[in-house]
Amino acid sequence: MKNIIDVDNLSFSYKNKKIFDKFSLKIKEKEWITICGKNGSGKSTLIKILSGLINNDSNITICDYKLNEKNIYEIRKNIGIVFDKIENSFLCETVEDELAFILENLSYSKMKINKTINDLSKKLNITHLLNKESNQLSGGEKCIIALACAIIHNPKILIIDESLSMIDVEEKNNLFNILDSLHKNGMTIINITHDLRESYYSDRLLILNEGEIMLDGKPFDVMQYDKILNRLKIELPVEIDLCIKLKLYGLINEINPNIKELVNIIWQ
Amino acid sequence: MAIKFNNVFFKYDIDNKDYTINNFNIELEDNKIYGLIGKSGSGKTTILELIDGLILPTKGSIDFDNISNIKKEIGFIFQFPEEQFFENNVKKEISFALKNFDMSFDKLSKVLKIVGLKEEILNKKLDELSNGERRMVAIASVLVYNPKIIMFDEPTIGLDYNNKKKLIRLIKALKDRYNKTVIIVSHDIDFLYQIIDKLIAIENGKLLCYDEKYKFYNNDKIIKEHNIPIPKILLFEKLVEKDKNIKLLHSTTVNDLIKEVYRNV
Repeated sequence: MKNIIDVDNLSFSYKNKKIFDKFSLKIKEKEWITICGKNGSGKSTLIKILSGLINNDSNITICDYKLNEKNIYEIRKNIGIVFDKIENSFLCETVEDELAFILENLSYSKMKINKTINDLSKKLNITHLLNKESNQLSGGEKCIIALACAIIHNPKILIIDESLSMIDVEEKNNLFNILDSLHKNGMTIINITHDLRESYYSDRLLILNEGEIMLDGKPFDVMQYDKILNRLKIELPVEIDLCIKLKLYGLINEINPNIKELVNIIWQ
Repeated sequence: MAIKFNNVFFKYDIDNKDYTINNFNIELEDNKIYGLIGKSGSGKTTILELIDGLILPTKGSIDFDNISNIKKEIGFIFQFPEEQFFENNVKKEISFALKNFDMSFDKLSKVLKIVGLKEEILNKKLDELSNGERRMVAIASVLVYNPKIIMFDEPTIGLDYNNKKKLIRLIKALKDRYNKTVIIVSHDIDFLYQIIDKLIAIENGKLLCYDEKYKFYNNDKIIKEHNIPIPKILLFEKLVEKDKNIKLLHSTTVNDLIKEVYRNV
C-alpha cells in the first residue's frame, strides 16, 4: 500500500519554542492510526500543519500533492477534519444548512445535496437534528454533527482532533462502528485522542511526546509499555491496566480487553 | 436535604411542545458526591444550570436547604473553562468573585494550595495555560468564595492522567475535608466510580434511576433495558459472581481488584 501522507524532516517552532525537529511520519493509504500524547506533545500542531492552517516549508506530501499554497485546495478536497473546538466550527443556522454548505462549496447540485444529506442522516441517526440550530445541540450531538460535516463529501482522509470525548459510551460505540465501515470502504483515518480505548479499532497507535514519536506499533503491543506510558502521563484504560497486571502475576498470557473472556481465562 | 426538585419541567423554547426536563423529582443530601449520567441530550447540563439558577423551571420548583444566596453558595465549573472566564489574567480571574461578593483577598493563597497550583501562576495570562491548568484555575475561581455545593460538567475532558489523578484527590477532599456537596456530570464512568457516593441516571429529561452506587448497579433490568454503561472494575466483579459463583470484595482501583483476584484464584 502506498503512502497517503508523507512527512519528511518537519521542523517547526512557535514563539521560540521548538515543537518539531526533523520529524518524519508516513501514513499508508487506508490505514487507521490513533495518535496519543499528553497536552503540548504536538498532536494538534501536526494536524494544523497537515491541513495547511499553519504554513510550513517542510517536505510534506498528501494524496500525491506536495503541501504548498498552490496545491492546498486540491489537498483539502480530500480531507475531512473535526477540530477540537467544535463550538467554533459551525457557521450556518441549522444542522441541515451546515451540511449543505460544504456540498454547495464543492458545486454539488441541489438534488445531489438533498440525497447526500438524507443518506448520511439515516446512517448516523441524526435526521431528528437536521432542523435544529447548533446552539440547541448538546455537547455530544455537536460532536456527531461535526463528524457528519467532515465526512459528507466522502474524503480520502478523515482527521479527528480530540473531538469525541463528550459523546456517551453507546454513541461512541455506534460512531466507531460507522468509522469502521468507512475504513473498510477505503478511508484513511487519523484520530487524535487522550483515550487509548479509541485505538482498539485502529491499525496503529502512535505515542507522541514533545514532537517526537516515542512508541509506534499495533495498539495492544504499544499499550504493554505501561511504564513508558505512565511516565508520559498517558492513562491506560482500566481493562488494559488490569490485563498488564494479571499478565505480570502469570494469570493470563495475552492482553484481552474483553472482560468476559478475561474472567473465563483466569478461572477456566 | 441540600437540594429538592419538585415536579420540575423545563424547555428552552416556550413554543416547543417538548420539554428538555420532564417532571423531574429528586432529593439530594448534604455532603455527598453525586454522579449524573445519561446519553447526550438527556438533560444533564440543563439540570446543573437549573440548580445554579442560570435558567429557571418552566413549571415546578427547586428548594435549597440553608441557602440564602444561590450565586454565593453554589459553584459551577463549566465543560469548557474558557467559557466562564471574565479576565485574561489568572489573579484577576480568581479574585473576580471575591470582588463581587466583597470578600477578603487573603483566601487566594489557600485556594491555590487546595487545587495544587503554585503562586507564580497568578501572574500568567489564561491563554498561556495548559488545559489542566485552566481547569484548576476555573475550580479555584469557584472555591475561592467557599460555596456549599460545587458542580462539575465533564471535568475530565482534555485532562492528562496526572491532572485526572489530581482532580480525583481534590474532589474527595472537597467532600471529606471541606464538607461540600459535589455533583459531577461525566461520561467517564470509570472515573466517577472511584469517587461517587450516589448515582443519578437521566433519560429524555426524566429521572431513570437514583441510588447509592452499588445498589444502582444491582438494577440489572434498568441497566440492560437502557444500555447504562457499567464501570469496568464492577463489570469484572459482577461477571465473576455470575459466571464463577465467586463474590469478590468491591474494589474501586485496579490494584485493589488484582489483590482480590489473587485471593480467589
